[in-house]
This record gives sequence, structure tokens and C-alpha cells, in this order.
Amino acid sequence: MVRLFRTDIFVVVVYLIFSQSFNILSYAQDNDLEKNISKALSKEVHSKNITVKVSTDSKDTKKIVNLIIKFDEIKLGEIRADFLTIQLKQPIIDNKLLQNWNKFKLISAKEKKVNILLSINSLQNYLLVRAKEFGKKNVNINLKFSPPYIECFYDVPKDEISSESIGLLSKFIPGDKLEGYAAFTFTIKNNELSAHSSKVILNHFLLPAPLLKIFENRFNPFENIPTLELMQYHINKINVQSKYLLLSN
Amino acid sequence: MKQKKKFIKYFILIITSFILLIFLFFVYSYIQGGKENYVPPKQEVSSDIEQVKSDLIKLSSSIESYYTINLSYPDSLSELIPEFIDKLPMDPLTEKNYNLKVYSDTLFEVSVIDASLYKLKEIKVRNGKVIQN
Repeated sequence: MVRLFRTDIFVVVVYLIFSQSFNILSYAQDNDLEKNISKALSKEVHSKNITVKVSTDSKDTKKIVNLIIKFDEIKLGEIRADFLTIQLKQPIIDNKLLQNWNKFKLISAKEKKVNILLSINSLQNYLLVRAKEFGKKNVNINLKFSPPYIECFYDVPKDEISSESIGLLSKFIPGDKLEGYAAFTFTIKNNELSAHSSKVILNHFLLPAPLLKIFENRFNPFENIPTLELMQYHINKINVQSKYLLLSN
Repeated sequence: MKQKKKFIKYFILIITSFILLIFLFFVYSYIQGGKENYVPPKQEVSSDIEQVKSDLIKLSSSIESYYTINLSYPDSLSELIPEFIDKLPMDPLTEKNYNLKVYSDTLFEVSVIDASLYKLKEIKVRNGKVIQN
């Protein structure tokens, strides 16, 4: 009886040791994979920090169930996004390329969820960069997030505005500068960003809605949001929050 | 001659009213353009149920933002303050906070405490999608 009991304990202990070591092995493999992916991505993406979380199938450790990648301060074209997180369900990645060449290639994924967070500073810096690209030097724009609007306080010399816009606004620009306030909402489709003005005040005049409509029709979509080509996604949702602008697919 | 005079009278009246209208428009536009009006337009919500939907969507997107930074969902809605939301919206009928349920690393939902108050079986937002039955 005692002998039988001892054998049982032995079996249980052996099982526990094996299952534990299997788990440890699995965690170690996940860790290695996370490190490899992070290393491969850091070569191709300009980001301050990359966090990779992998969870593999308990039966088949080579099969990835979930892959989550977070980029801190990532550069997307001229935009420096504060955070970009990608959640991939059952992704298939090119393992040979990853192991032999240290390159990340996503072949497919059952589900892909992308969230990008932009703070006021990032957005403001982006606007300044874009203004400089267009040769506009004295553009003074301050932004504020007031969900669901983005408020914009501007002070721009008349010379910095295109002649087309000046033509439409001529009645409201008595002096040599454009100064005022605007409240916008945004929509995005296939990475193309459109602005919809809810209220625009220019040089102490509230602009009429039909005039704003003309501007919207003429200039929208006004920007193409750069994406991370490695991940192949399209941004289709935009949400203004108190401290961030959330872009998602 | 009389008819011509009448026509001129009407013509002047129309032109004057037109100029007056334009003048009034500019006066209105000028009054509305003061710095005290540098505020976003007020949002009007048509009904309680619309308010609930708008609140749940707002909360859901704040939770998504929380996840984007922390790689996990919050344990309670109060963790969203102040980074992702200024203050928690309240259910307009019960004036209580909404419910957050986190089912897994990738699944969450926010809902009203009692959907029957809205004559519904359920009203919630699951991973960004509105579900109303």
C-alpha cells in the first residue's frame, strides 16, 4: 500500500517537473521570439522603444496565437506618434527570414487591430514641419483637444495664404493677417484625413456655414496619414480625446 | 409714368432691404466673432439613449487608448482619469457610472447597469462595436 502511494507521488512529481519545465521552455521560446521580433523591427522602424508580447499555442509552441507590438515615439513619415500598438491574432510571420536574416515579415493575420496615439505636441510639431515644407515660416497655430472637436487658435500673415483662399476670404481680411479661431471635427478613410469645420472665426468675423462648406469641398481630404508599411493597414477611425488623438483601423 | 415710379420705388426697396440684410449679416457675424466666442459649438443630444451610446463609445475609445499604452485593459473606469478622459460620464437615467467588464487580454465591454430602464435587453459597446437589443 505504502509502495503504491510512493509510486503515485513519484508519478505526480515527475509530471509536475516535466510540465513546469515544458512551460519554462515555452516561456523561453516566447521570450526569444519576442527579442528576435523586437530586434528585427528596430532595424526597420524609427522608434524609441519597441515592446513585443507573444503568446503561443500551448500544444504547438511554433504557432503564435497573439502578437502584440507597441512602439513608443514612432516616426511615421513626418509624424512622430506617441504610441502605436498593433494586435495581431493568429499571425503568420516569415520565421526563416526572422531567424536567418533578422527581418520581420508579416505574411497574414486573422485579425489586425492598430491604434495610434498622437498628443497635442506631436500634432503641433507635425503642423510646423508641414508648414515649413510649404515654405510658411510665420505660421502661429495653437491646438487644443476638446472632444469631439480640435480647437485651433491661429495667427497667420496674409502672404502665407494661397491666393485661392484669399479670394474666398477677401471680405473678411481687412488687414495684413489672418487671426482667429476654428473648431474642427475629423473623419478618416483609407488613411485620408478630412476636416469638417463646425465654427470658424476670422478677424473677428464668424464665417458663414456655406463658405465653410466650399472650403471643405475644395480642400478635403487634406492629408494622407503615413502608415507602417510592414504591417499593411488602413486607418479608418479617428477619435479626439482629452489628451490624445486616437487613430485606429 | 406712374408704373415706372412704382417700379423704381419697389426696386429701391428691394435693393435697400438687400443691403440692410448684408449689413445685418456682417453685424451679426462681427458680434459672434469676439474672443469670448472662441469656444466649440455645444453638442445637442436628442435622447437619453443617444446620450448613452455617445458615452459608451467615448469610454470605449478611452479604454482603447489605455490599452495602446499599457498593453492591458484597466481594472476600473476610474483608471482612465485624467490621462484618457477628464471625467467619467454618468448614465442619464440612474446617474451612476457605466459598467466595465474585461473578459480577456483582447476583449472588453462597457454597458449600462440596467438596460431595462431603456426598454432594452442590453446596450453595450464591445471592443468598439455598439450592441443594442
